[in-house]
Amino acid sequence: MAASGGADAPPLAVAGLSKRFGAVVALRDVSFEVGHGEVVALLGKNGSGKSTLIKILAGYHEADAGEVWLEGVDLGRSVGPAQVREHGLGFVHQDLALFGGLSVAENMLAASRVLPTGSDRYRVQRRAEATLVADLLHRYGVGTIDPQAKVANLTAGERALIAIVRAAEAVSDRRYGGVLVLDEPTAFLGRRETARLFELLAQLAASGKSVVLVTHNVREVREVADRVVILRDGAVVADEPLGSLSDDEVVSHIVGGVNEPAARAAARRATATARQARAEVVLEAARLTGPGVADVSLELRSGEVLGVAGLVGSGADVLPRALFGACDGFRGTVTIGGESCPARSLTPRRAIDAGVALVPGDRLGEGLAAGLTLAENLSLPVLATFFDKLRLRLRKLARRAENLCTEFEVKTEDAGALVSQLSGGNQQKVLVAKWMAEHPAVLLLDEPTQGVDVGARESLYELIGRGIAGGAAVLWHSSDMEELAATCDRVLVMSGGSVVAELGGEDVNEVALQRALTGARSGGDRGAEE
Amino acid sequence: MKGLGVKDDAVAVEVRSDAATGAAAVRGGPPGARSGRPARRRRQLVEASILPGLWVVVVVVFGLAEPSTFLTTRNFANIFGSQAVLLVLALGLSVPLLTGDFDLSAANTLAFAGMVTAILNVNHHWPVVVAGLVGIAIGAVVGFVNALVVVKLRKDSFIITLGTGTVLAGLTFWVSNSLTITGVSHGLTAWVFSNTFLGIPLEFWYGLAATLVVLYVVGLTPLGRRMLFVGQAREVARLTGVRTDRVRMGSLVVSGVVGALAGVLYLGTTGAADPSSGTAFLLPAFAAVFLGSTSIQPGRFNPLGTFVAVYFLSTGIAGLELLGAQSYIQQLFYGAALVLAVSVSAIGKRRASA
Repeated sequence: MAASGGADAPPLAVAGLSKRFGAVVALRDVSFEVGHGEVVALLGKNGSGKSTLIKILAGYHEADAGEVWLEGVDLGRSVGPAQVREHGLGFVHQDLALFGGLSVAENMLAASRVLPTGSDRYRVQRRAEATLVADLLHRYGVGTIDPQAKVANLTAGERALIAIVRAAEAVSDRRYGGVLVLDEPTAFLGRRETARLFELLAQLAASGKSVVLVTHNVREVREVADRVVILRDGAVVADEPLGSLSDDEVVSHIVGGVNEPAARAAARRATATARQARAEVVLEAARLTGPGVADVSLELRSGEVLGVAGLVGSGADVLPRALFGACDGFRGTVTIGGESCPARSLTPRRAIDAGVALVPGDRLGEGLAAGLTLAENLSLPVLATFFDKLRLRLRKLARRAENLCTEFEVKTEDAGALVSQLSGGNQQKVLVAKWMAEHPAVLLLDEPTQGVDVGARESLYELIGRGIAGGAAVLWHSSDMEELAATCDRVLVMSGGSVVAELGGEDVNEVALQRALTGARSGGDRGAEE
Repeated sequence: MKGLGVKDDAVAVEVRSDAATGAAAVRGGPPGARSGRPARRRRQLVEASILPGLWVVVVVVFGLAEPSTFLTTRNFANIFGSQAVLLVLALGLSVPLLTGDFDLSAANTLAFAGMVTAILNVNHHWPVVVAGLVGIAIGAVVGFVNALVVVKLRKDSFIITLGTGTVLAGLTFWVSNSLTITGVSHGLTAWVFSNTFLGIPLEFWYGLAATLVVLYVVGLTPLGRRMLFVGQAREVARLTGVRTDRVRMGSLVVSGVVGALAGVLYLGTTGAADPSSGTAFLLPAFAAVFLGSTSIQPGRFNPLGTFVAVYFLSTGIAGLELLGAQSYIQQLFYGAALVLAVSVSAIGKRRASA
């Protein structure tokens, strides 16, 4: 690689990139290249280091070691915004980075350099802009979107296409070079929109641009990617032409070996299944439909752990909240403990009264008040029972909080400490204690170990396990397949708002789950899609 | 680690290492072990008592400067008696502040309710009790309108109550023809201001009672704690089964009613309804609530803090006026107090989260 750069140097290369966050190694010695006109799929499960890699390329993070090369120029450990622009990198992040309150045209023109050059350069030329953007959208085959429409009023799929067209335009603006980096672009796209996107990517590649596609879906990727780079635990475990790998091989690269807890879980499941078949159904959803969820029916028995898996946009993250009555706009029926309730009139209050508890995924936004003390946070669900002789029994509440901190292994000076003073893992234990203290009949968990360290994760599993042993029914949503494999009796896999697969018994293992999630077919259908 | 005493020692050691390293100590002691956490408690106690301490300092300084006029029972009776209206108003608007909403219309509710009561009593010869109840009912209506728009239509309380407050100010000038209405029944002035208990006008005791009621509800009832959560983390409250909309609407209605009640007290204090009184009360009330939130329970809107802040501010102003300052000192003092209070609590918060 010559330091002078030029048209022959690869548009993007990384060499020996390493990055750690505290004790966690996010990337170790990652090297790969993206050639001109090449479409590279970047695969890996949650926590494999994909996001960290993308964030280093986009300039959010600085690597600890290694270097990033753009068009043959060594940029060292970090990329600046000016260099992103200079070397023609275009990003479509998962959150799309669109301005919801502005029009499509305004969004398109905010980032790319296709401003009209009229006589009066200082006046916004609405009409000229609209024509320009309409042409642009037409050229990318999404001419059905109105340039004047407010972005907030578009469908999720249309919004994703707008963000993609915007980034693609920034890249294709250049004479040579240019890399379009897309982070899970198909999450909110329907089948036809996805097909449209892949056509677009193929066009870009044909004109010499390069594409890096971060994805979970192996089957989709076969249609468009030339090469696949697979990350596991922060290291590159495969960098090969996609045609030479079967779906099974891809999945086994993503997952790695079968680990200890999964084996233990399988043994537990074997004994549990027979018992559960006789247990009573404590939660039942019939034809649950609403924003992000389409026609989901499920049954949950006491003592059972039902996993919910799905990619971003699949509705898996919505399901626990919907069953708790925390989202508006739902239809269908939810039956809790034999009592039926239309989903429309289900509220968190009603769900709680019926014995349901929700441990939300957003710990400090939805689970705990960061500025209040542990004792106060722990008291909120039980205030009524501690109101006696016309006053809250504060001392009893404090003692109960201290006991819960001991029982749930919360490391804190005392229960009078503020939640914000605790580590993430300890906050999560407080959140779990808040709900499990009153022994709910149904426990809905949304990413209960997100962002906590390994030690805290193990003790959370154990603490939740105690509740299950006590007869609670658990619905467990997680994006970590290893976690679901280690904890669940049964797993529902969701896609596009519906349940597309149910795995039970022997099938609840990480490989099978990952395969169901990525849409891979089982068996050796090597390269069947080409 | 069998005996309790040993455990207590272990806690103390861990906490000492905690103070040295800044890391969270491992909790080792039984629930009853209270020995191992003096640092945070002491800091809280110091922070909580800064404002009451300042109040004492102000009294001492003015006492030394003007012993003949400042240190008189009449002066203190005056300070305690004259500020009850402000105290009640401040307590009222601290309720929606606690649940996360502003009520900028409360001071003009005071003026309008006082004016309507005065007009019904003086011009239409209604009994003062009935006229007062009508005034208070008006406060309830104002609070309910605020609540509907802010909570049900999900609009910013700051802007909406600024608007409704301005409408009320206009209504006040309209119904009164911009005139001060004098000659309110002596019954009212007697039961508010003229009659005294322990040498202090009755309204001081009303204000004290109101403080205690708010203190009880906020500190010792489930409702009060739910209000705290609605203000601090609304989504957390909602997902723990709190009916957040009802709590917020109720709070805005309470501040309307209490604002109107303060209006009736104001009428009883001065014996007259002045159409421009709303403007004069708005900022001092907010200054007192925010300054109060830096004291007693720092970082929270709390009634005792509000109580201390009201009397700290009025003592300072009374002293400065005795030293010869003109009435502009009120605006200087209240304005500066509001800015200082908010800045100090922001600094405190940053330090706590660091």
